[in-house]
Amino acid sequence: MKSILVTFWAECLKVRKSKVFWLSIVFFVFVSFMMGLIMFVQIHPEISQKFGMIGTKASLLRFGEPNWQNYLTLLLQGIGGIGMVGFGFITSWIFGREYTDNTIKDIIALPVSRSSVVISKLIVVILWSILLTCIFLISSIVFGHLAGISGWTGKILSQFLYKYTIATLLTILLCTITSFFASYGKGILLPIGVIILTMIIANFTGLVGLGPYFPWAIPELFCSPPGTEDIHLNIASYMILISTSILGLIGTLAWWQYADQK
Amino acid sequence: MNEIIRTEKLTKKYKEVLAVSEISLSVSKGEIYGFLGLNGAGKTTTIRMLLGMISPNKGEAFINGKKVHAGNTELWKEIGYLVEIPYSYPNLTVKENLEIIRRLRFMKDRNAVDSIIDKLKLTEYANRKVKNLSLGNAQRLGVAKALIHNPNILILDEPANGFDPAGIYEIRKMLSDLAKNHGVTVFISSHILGEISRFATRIGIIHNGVLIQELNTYKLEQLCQKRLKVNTRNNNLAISVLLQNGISAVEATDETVEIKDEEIINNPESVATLLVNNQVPPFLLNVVEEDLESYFLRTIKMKGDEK
Repeated sequence: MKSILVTFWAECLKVRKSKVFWLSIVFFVFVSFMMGLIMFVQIHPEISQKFGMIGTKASLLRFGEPNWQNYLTLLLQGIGGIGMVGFGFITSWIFGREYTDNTIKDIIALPVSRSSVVISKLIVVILWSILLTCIFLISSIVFGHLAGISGWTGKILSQFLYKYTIATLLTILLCTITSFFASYGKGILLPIGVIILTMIIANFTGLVGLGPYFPWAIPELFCSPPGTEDIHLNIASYMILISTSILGLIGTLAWWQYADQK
Repeated sequence: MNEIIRTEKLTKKYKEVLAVSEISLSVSKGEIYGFLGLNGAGKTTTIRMLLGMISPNKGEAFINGKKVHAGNTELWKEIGYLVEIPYSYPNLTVKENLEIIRRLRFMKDRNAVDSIIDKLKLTEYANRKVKNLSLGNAQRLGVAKALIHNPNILILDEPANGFDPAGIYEIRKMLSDLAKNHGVTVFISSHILGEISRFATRIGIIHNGVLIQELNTYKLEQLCQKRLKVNTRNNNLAISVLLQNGISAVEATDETVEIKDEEIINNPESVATLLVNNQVPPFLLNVVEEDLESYFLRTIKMKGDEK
């Protein structure tokens, strides 16, 4: 426990002092701003032409009335997508930077166990991801109100929050696979490549109806519009996703403990 | 316990490349063991095996009698180390980097960071981000990280890299003091051979992954070849005079007369007398001792010739 506390402190300091931390917040706020802007353009179709590409995009993305129900559904799909990329990127950075900065050798022959370093890093990944999720949620709601979206009720929000939280957790669970590839690939490129590849495969499996059995497709399917997710996801889907996460965790721990750290 | 570091037939192979082959060595308490070799000789691989960073394919390493492996975290409490170029977190300051190490070493003394900063003359740079440090100061930070907890054992891989001559002298003095006055055992690798010979108490020479020779500094002095260098106004005449009197002498590349006969080297005045009597008085008589660098190059060449 003492090992986890000190390694967690060190990981927090490293994250807090990095540019990546602040850039990730800016990125998530920016995406929520864009979503609010799209709603604004939908509410005011007369100005869509003035926005050029954004106006065209907003016109293409018509998903019903520009109300809170539909906006929050858009947010759910948003967190499925940018969560996968965003959380994956921060996991890659937290693990991969030790190799790209050549600092790995400084933290593997110390009185703290290597497993406590890995666990602390994963705790920071979880907390950082939750923070980004909260920032994304709050800023999206703020931009939604500023855009003048109608139909805000507490009931809609509470239903949304349940799905939003579960979708976030499902996405975070997959970060252990990213942490393994960041360690195995000794950097950031391989895990980012893996994330891109899994997203492509997730789309493909979705098309052929295998999405519920491909871990990286599951969070997005969970975020599908109401009434469609139950058709796809089943208990096996969640078991597959949790097993993948555990496999990633074991793989990362084993890699740090047993692989040659050259 | 007198034996602090011991390896038994330590071997590491990367696919078809034999990086380290059956290295067995032993370092006693308070010794400064200089581990010499060219780049790629296997020094860093051996050091990484001593620190549990890589696992040997064969053989074992022991520190303080305990077997080295990645999970033996207790072992690292007494060891300070530096492997190759000491990188630190670039966005953190010198102080923050050291504070991380202090906490990860469970050190209660909060002044330890300031104290080591002071000792390594980093006070001026304490609040500077590592990415803005010069190579020499980054190296100082690496040494500070290795010494912060006053370890009993120091394992240092090329610690002089990046230091200017004054810095090298300072580190050498510090390590000698730690070994002589505080009983710290130092295992230090380098390819700057003359540097190591100035303060190591024992030297191991590694070449192509094989420990080809181990010797103490006294023995090294004996093994290093001595030569008598003579210079006159007419070296050709001097050589013929010496040869006529049964003294083997040759003209060296630096255009001096070189004599390797041990008896003559121990009595250089006899050469002076002989040359003066034959009208070729010397204006230079100098007994030159082979330095470690030449000895090392000669040793690995001999080893290469054997193959």
